[in-house]
Amino acid sequence: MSAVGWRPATMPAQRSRWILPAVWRTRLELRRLGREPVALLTTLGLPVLVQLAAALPRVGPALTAVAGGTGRLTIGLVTIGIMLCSFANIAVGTSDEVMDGTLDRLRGTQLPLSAYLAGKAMLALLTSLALAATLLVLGMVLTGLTLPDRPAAWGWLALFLVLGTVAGTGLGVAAAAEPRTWMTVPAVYLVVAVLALASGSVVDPQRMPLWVSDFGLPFPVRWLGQGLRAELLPGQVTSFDLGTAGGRWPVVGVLAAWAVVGLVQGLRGIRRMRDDAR
Amino acid sequence: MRGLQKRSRRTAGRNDVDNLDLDVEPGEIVALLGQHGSQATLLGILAGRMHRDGGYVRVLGSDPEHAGASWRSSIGVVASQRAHRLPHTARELVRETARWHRAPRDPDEVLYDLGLRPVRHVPARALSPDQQRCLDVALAVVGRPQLLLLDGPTRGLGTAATRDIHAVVRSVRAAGTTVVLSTSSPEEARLLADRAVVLAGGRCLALDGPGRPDPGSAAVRLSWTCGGVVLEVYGGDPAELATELAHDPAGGASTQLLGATA
Repeated sequence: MSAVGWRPATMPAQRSRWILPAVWRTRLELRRLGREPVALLTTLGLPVLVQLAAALPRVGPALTAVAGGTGRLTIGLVTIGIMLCSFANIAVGTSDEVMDGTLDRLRGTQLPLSAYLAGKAMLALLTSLALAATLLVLGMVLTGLTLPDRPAAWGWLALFLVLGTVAGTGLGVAAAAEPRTWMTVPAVYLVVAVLALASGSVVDPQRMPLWVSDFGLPFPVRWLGQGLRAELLPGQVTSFDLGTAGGRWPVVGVLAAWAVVGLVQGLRGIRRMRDDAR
Repeated sequence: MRGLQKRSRRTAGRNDVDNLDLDVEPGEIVALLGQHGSQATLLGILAGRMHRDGGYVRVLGSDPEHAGASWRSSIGVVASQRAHRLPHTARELVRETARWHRAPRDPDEVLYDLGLRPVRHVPARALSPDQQRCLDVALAVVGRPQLLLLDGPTRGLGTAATRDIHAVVRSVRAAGTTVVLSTSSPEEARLLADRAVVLAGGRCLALDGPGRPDPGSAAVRLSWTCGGVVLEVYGGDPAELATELAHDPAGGASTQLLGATA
């Protein structure tokens, strides 16, 4: 056998020991998503379809009424989209790797677990970014959404997006590494659906019972939605958002806390995995 | 590389390993025969993927349970078979695994050795079970492990895949890798291994095994240490014998075995 195109020196030098593996892992994750039509549909396709439906004659007004405005609908879809791209897609993908022994095999190599996790987070970030951009452009074209022109607003949006996806990725990996069997694919989507409803992002919070929105209060989806609305719809701050207002820092604080919890739990989850724990 | 010494014990259950002593010399191929649960537990402990309740285990000079990443990457593991779920191709997976090792083998060569060259661009999950098993072995050997642990590598496979895997096991040993594999077939142990260990009731019932391949005889020769008595057995199914032995007190076992050898 010839070794054409193969370079034996594969482990990168000391300094780039973390960055290069993370880049390779990201590439691998993107390639994987490209070959999973179901995952593409459930993470990227679904929110886009709903946004497109908002332009239809009968369905559109109904959707808008439920969400409490065209702007709120688009932003709600962005929020859910970020959850789907990070938490749901990562949890489902990782649980496949847990079940077929891929993660065990990776543990038997020199790949740092943090680089593995970084690959996941980059996948979530890139897909979230693409989805959010698509939804916002569709919102502009179809329902006349106006985007902020202040650079600061975009800076905050980027920060919320990064924190939200990192939190979702970590929690998704942790959920997949969960040795108990209840964390199945339907369970993951159920969690997304419940939290999305309780977050007040997709359903007009004024139509929701108070206890539902109270239930959603500790979770990052609620805060992500609130942060996005504050920047994208500055003129439409409702009493729901005011109730937890106090500027952007509370949003940043809650999302950052969840991101830390997610990363720690995700790393712990894959580190403690053993054959006899399952 | 140092030999491995292991003395582990678990309480209750069919997957027990109970007060087992075993030294494996560098560059040796050792086959584990007998109860499947015990084989899997023993391999799991050696690979550092299972917790042991007691005893002293050293693999390549480290305690598997607490060893670090560089230790883990010097061990190749083929776990019991699970279906692949990734859409990446066989070649992508082997190359990717090679990337995370310090001195990997040429991935294409490994694929070729395991008969996966024609299907190297097929997604792993679309491969046949035999091909997936060969891919498992490819992923385990591409990193040039010092120790290769295989849990029933050829269980349920066709002759072609079995032949390829046997050839690869022999070639990695020739390159200095120590191999511990579990099998349910005494024939496989005889063909492949320098020694066989029969596990039953969590105990090591027999040490020393089929010896070098013996072209003149299809029978298996086992020498047993049981209750302090060293016995030799020719022929028969060692796994079956061992299972029987497990249910008898030591004295009975000795008598029975003596009868068998007489």
